[in-house]
Amino acid sequence: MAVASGNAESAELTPGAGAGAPRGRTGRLSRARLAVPGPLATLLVIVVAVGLAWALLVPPWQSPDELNHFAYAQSLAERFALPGDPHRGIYSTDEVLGARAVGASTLSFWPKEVKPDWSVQDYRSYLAEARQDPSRSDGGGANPVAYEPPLFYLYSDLAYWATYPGNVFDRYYAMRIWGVSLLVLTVLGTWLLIGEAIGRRRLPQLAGSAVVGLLPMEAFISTSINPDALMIVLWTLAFWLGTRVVKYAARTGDVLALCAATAAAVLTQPTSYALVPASALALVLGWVRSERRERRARARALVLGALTVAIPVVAWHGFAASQGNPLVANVAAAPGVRPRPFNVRQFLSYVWQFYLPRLPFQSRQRATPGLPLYEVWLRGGWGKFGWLDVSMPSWVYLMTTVFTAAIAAASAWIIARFRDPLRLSLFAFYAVGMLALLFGLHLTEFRSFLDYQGTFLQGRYILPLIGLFGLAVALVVSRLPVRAVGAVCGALLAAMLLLQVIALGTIVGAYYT
Amino acid sequence: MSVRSSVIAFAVVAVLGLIGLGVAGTVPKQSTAFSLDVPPTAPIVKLSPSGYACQGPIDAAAGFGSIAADLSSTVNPSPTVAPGPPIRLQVSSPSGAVIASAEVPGGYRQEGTVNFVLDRSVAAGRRIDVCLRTSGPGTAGVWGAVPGPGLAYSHVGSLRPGNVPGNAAIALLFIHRHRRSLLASLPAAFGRAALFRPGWVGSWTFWVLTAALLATFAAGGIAVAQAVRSDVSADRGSA
Repeated sequence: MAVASGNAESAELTPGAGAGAPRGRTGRLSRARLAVPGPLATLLVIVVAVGLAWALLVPPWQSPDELNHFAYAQSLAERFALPGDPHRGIYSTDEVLGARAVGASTLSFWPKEVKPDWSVQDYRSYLAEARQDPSRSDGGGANPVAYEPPLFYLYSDLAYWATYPGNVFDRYYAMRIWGVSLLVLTVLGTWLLIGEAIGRRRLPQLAGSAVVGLLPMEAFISTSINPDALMIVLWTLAFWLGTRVVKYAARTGDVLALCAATAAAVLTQPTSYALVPASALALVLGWVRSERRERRARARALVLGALTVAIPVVAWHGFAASQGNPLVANVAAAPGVRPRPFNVRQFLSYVWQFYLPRLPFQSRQRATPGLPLYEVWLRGGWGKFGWLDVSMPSWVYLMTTVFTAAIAAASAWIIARFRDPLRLSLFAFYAVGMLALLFGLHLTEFRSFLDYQGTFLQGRYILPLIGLFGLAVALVVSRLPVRAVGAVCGALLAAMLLLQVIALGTIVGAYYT
Repeated sequence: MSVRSSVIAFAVVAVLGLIGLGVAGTVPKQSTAFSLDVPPTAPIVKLSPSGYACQGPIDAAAGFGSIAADLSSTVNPSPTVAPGPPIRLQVSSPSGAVIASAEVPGGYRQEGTVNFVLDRSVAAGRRIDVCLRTSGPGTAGVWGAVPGPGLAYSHVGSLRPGNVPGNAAIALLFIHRHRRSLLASLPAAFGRAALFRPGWVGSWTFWVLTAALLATFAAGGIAVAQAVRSDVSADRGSA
């Protein structure tokens, strides 16, 4: 089973891929490999343009929980303190003034009946009030997102501090524009993941990365003030680094980088604990694949990697506990309500009903109309904007669903033919990452039902897997007949750009007409 | 696999798609003139037979030809209740002179948005009152909201008669008389989007972003050509 790192070429998911590309036998980075390929550079320019449009077009605080996320970031930026002080308000006067001026809270729930404030006079009144320097540091109270670790907010605060003299809209939009960097990193991570898993074939890399970078929900969330934006980047990078760990038999640099990405993901969003089993599996698979004489040294790297994850995470737990902050989202029954006990059969029935039509003997587990797989993952995953109530035309979701189903079926067909251990190892690594995330999400929603709370899942919650979706697209493209690859890739890129036009047009239509 | 066929495939999809979206963008649609920005959270006024509710004075921020309001046949909507009565809406000046009016037939039950198409347009800048009256038997709930304690909606005037919770207002959406396409609405839309943004943003920013978005199609073609060339040259190198 053990394969020396020099045999890494055989790891690629497509036979013969990567031929001719400049590559060291050990996969170490060389100057030639660090040069940005032309198609990637052009794609990143496209993604930056699209990202800027999303960052500036979406009205203030019209992304899920953005008022709370901004309040968290502001508390860190102004007071160097986590939110959660019960003696303070959640929001600063500075944020309240801006949010009230534009009608942010009302607009969040009634985007069809209410519009963002279009009054020039109101805007001038706001500017006059903002010149009185409203307090920015009187927030930091009991914030519903106080359980989130601080990494994303610190990243976002770089833009806050850079525009510190401005009013709340200067700082808020600087943070959103700064989010374009996360979109770019996600595309870059996907490109690297595909290059490592399938080989350095530019058309599959372009196709897979373009689908990721131009997926409307990904652009919307990446440019929102929301820790999901950084979590998506870190999961994508972790899938790339885990691929390297497995493929090159757990080299120290790859191991430490994977563990650092995993730790950073956990310090960004508690959902990322679901990444830990996949990362651990990659480390074990990489170690098993290493040569016997190297195993002792690689085991030391694994211990070092484990410490890279454990030390910051434990330190964060200790610090959060000392502040009295919860460590996970508060999905609990309302005071005085007795939650129902957990039942495995009911849980399995709930999962069945999420993905498949309910069978006659099953009791209803989810009270929402339609098949949740379609309504939540497919519609919500491709793009539901604002506070999830601004949708693209229905025919768009039909087309994106057909596309997703075709990619899923074709990639499953290809994967079912994998026989060599390395490909199967890589597939196991990706599958564990995907299943752990889905299991955690479904368990959380099921617990929410047991506690008589509402639905929990939203399409954006599966975006950490977007790199794998890009990889699946690339895998299918790489298996097309050679004559068709270029044309299919061209048509796909054009279709994704058109989808962006539709999505941004939807935003204009919903909020500004 | 050739650069030419790949770029042609890209161009065909892009051009056909853009033409399709361009045509769709010229289809006239209902467009909002302005909103009171009051959400329809609950029925805040119960209109009994011959009862009325007036909201104003309101400064018309733009000209309009219809008004959307949320009505229900009762203050406690239920499918079992009697259908709601006809409602007459009047737009009048503060002195009471009727500027425009509309009537919707009865028959509604659950809460829903009703569009009052006025017999005349109302010009921008006019100061107006909007009054709703029942013109038949039965009661109707008119939906709106009460702002939080100590707060008030701006630019909505007041709600009369005064037997409603403090600072309550009716949810009204004012709609342009003529339907407008999305493309025709872009100048106004970008002007609106430029408010409550960083100081350096103006409507020009959104025109530049629109141009950049269109330019991404050219860049997409270039990316495909670059990728094909790279893969072809890699194949030749490995052959």
